[in-house]
Amino acid sequence: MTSRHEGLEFPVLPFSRLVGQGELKRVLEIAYVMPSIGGVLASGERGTAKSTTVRSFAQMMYGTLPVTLPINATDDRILGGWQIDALLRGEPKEMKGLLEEADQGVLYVDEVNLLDDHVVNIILDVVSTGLLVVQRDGLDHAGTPVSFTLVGTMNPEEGGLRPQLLDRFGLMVPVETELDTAVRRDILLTVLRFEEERRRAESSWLREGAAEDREHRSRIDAARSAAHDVLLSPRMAELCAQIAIDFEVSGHRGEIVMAQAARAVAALDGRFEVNARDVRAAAPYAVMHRRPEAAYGDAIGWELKDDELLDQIVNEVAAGERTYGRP
Amino acid sequence: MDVRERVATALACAAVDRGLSGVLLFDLDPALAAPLGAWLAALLPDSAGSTVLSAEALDDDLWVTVRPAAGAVGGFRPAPGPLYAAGRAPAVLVAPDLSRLGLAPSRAAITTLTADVAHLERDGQQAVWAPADRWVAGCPKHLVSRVSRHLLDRFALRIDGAALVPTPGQSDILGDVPVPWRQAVHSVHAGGPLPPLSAAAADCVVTVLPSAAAGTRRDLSLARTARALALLAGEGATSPHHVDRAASLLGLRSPSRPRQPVSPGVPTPDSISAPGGEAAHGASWPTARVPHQVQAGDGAAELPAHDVPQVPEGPYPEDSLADEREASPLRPPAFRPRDKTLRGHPVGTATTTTTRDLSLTATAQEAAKYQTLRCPGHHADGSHPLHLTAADLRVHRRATESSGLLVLVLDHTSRRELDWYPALSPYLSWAYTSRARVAVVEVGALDAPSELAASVFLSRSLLDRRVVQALNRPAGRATPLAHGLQLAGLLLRHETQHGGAVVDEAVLLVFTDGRANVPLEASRSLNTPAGVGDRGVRDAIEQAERIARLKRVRSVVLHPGPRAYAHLLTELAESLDGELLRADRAATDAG
Repeated sequence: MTSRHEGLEFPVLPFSRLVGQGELKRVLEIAYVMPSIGGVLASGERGTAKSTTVRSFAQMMYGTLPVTLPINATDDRILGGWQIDALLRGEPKEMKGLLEEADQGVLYVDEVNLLDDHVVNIILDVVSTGLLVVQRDGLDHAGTPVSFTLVGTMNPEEGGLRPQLLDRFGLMVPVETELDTAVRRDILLTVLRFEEERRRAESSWLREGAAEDREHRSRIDAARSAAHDVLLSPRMAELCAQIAIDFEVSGHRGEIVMAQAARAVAALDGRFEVNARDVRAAAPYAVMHRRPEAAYGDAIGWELKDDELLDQIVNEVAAGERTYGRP
Repeated sequence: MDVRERVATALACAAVDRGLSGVLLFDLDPALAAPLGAWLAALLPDSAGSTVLSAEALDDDLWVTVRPAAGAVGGFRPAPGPLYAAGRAPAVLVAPDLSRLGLAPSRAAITTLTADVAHLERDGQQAVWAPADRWVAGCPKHLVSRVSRHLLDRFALRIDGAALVPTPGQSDILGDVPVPWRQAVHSVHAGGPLPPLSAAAADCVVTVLPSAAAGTRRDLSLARTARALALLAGEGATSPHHVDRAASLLGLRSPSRPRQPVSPGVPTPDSISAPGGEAAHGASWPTARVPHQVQAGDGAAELPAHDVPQVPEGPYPEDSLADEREASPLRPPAFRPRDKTLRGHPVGTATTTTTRDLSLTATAQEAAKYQTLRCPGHHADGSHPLHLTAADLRVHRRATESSGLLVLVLDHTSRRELDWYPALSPYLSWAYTSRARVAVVEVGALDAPSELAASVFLSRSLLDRRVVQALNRPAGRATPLAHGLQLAGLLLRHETQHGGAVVDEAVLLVFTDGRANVPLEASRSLNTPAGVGDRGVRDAIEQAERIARLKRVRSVVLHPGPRAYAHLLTELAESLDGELLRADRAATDAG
């Protein structure tokens, strides 16, 4: 009964054909360019194409759908176990778990806030140690190194995430419904056209989309190669720290992720040094889910006053009016 | 177009397009759900049939399990459940009442309905496929507010099915599928083209639905419905005309249809207009007329079992109803193996290291997988017993159920500047330490959907953010205390007396100054009353007397301090057969 990707020649829209969701697209690119950021959480209302965007991005960058952990996955499929049909025939055949399958790639969890607590514990264990330990069902693998980018999507109407898991997502992006009538119209026409085009044996529309994706992928891969050479000056590092302090971010992961994301932004822009605009662009996604109110399960978001505070910090630090620490 | 044609057309649209795979029929007689599922399955080419989902089905039942099988090597074989759709033709899954659908099937619907891809990662099996199964679900409209909005959103086609009743002696509700429909569905499943959506039709879609509509799914649903109608009519393109028809089918107000008058006081989104049974506006339907075999109902709505504010018309009633669902209904309940009561119903299984509350089936199934590994000659001897190890043990995973219940009736209009936390804290502490469930009835909240009605929700524990939100809510003007007490009474009666009620101790805490100024009738009708007099107070007293008849309920009336209407409070407390406490003294008295 084991099958992969059945009947999915065109499972999702080409990334270049997606309409709207510019923020989520950009954040996925940033996390890909700098894998040490540690993943992306997209939280938003129903029907905002969160899952489609993530799948489409993985399809473009890895040539396949992301390794996906469904919310009802059993422990053996997460950690690793046996092929059940072979086992029933008396043939012990091991089967890698999803955490190992996702090694060096993406582990995608749709509806991540609906995950069972013990599955969350398993993921946290592996993500924090970088080691997959399987000692169950007659298997004994003590410590396989694994590293993956965790990408989750969720609808906050169904509850929040535990702070420990929230913190493991390097960046968080709120996804909102497109209200602009012209954009809604374009989404409609694009989605319905995709459904019609993929029924054709040969679709130039899809072929062109795939070609654009390949070009886009080349640019992102180039940025990934260049990202580690992007310089983060002490002043820009100071700016990251100051933002984290002023937004009362818990721990230090916030400013580290912010700095890495800023380097990715610069790399995607073809530059080799981070400027204040890069930090400004990355900061909301690095701090919004690490503020104190996020721990209380309140709706996590980014408001106009947050933008104003961020602009104020960026302007003051960039102009040399503030030094590291509270004013 | 009568209800039967409307339902048949919606099901045919679902057959055409897997993007319309969820069909929700409001107020459908549950007995009709299975026949409608079978009708749709018969329309799908090479269909895998239809299956009625058990409301309490578990993940193993739904996805894949290991079953005993005569002749199979080892005596067992993996068996797919109804949701495992890799390698098979589309099937129809039937949920007769969405409001009663259990955790596993609800989560299954969320992850497969309208999804681009579905994933199975269970028990040594892995599969990915493009979901194409159709779902036919019913739901009483007045219970829609108890269903997860996330789940409701998955149902693209929503039709009012209240008037659908079978004709005595006729087993076939919708009659034969018209030949043109069958041809159209077969053509599209064979890879035939779909009528492209014109730019003008797309413009029409975004005009029908307001921008604030949740996500783009509703836009897509309307557009896909229009496209399906165009296909069923044998037309080569989807035009604004088809969008208009689709809007009418779904009960939406299309640009060319006038706004319908709405009842005063009932919030109605722009998208909502005529009742589902209304005839389509000037549309000549693309479908062959199906012969009459059913009697349309008279449209008179049956009163719900308990009083609720009037349910809005239209396909998206959840937009206008207060959210009454349990917090996080799609999340599996916390499992506490040390829970002494073990009274909750099984919602799954989990590993264990003891033999207490074992799930024998799950344990045997787990052991069965490893028999050949543990004993190579195991299957050579038919009477050979299972080799069981501690690792096979599986315990029932039970929904936690507390025997305690705290019902808070919060009259916001009586609070004024008072900090009510000190007065309430002994009761909140009791609820927390005893893991009691907490129900909150809000009276006179500023942002209530209607100031004339109270609202209620029930949470698994005090640790539900809605409780804190309710305690911090600002006050409005009206005080529908009678309605609040009525809601509290209904809930208490249900929790202490109905079915497998597990509540041993219920505490009703009413924080009020007793000055009820909304008669119960006004709360029911949502019409502002003229000349209230003492009717609000009388109704509240009457509801209190009903609560006093319930056993295992301890009532306390907390009041904010000296008031001119002290006699109202005394009468209310006496009617409840409860205590009367001043808020500033309650913290010490309650202990």
